[in-house]
Amino acid sequence: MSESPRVNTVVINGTPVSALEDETVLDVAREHDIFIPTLCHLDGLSEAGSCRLCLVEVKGYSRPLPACVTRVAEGMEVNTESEALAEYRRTILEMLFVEGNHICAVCVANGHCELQRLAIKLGLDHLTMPYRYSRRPLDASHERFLVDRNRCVLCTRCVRVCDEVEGMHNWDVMGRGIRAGVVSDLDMPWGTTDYCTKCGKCVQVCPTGALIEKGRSVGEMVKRREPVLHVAETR
Amino acid sequence: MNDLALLERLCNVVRRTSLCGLGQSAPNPILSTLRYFRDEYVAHIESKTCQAHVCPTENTENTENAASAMQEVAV
Repeated sequence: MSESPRVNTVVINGTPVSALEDETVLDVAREHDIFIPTLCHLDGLSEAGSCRLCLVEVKGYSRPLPACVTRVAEGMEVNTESEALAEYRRTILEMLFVEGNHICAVCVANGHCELQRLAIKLGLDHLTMPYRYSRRPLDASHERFLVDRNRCVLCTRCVRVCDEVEGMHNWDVMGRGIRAGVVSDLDMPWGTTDYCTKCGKCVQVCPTGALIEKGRSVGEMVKRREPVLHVAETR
Repeated sequence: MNDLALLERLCNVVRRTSLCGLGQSAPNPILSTLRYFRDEYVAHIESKTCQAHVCPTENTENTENAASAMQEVAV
């Protein structure tokens, strides 16, 4: 008989809730309909903890912790909303917006974009930082898909889904800092790689219009995440 | 002058929210200089002068002053 996981009591925003010991703060918050913004998290994939939008305050820690990779502990006191957190989240979003090319009006993912949705939800209605007008390479060599790195927010969902669900690991992140970007098969044109199975999972999980199906016009790129979650769950 | 506030805000956010130790400590020099030498930042913005006479972008009049000051020191 396997031991059942211990149940911990944690306090989220002043309300005591019970949580299994292997759950993350984000899992518990979602179960209790407490909103925490996320970008790199996707059900069915491993956690990256890199987008820094799910930061929450935990009593006893001087700096905010990412909810998606923080496991609950007995007596933990979590605060998901504060003025400082809202400021951090907005600034991080703003940096993502000015770093790439996120002009919603001409984007295929307009209306179906998680970055856009978060900006609306977090009240980011204008930018105070100067645009960088990035000109990162675009790869249209694939017969069905296209990658526009200017719209990429480096959430690494495509990297993880290709590695963990499809099992091919075609995608990876290359470069550092402002020069970082996703690359196919050690920076070869996507259409020439031997690893891509053309399954399109990377396209479906991409939160923005960075990975898209060819032939879609403005606002037409609707992403379907459920099949990926289904495959991951039925493993 | 808005840029100073933006700089400070950016530094604080990066310092507090970064995943890696480099990000957590990289803004510290800027925050320290903003705290102890804010008047020099302001002088650069408002009167386009460099109190330490080390900026190449400084206008020529001040550069000449700096050059003569340097000579005086050298003598």
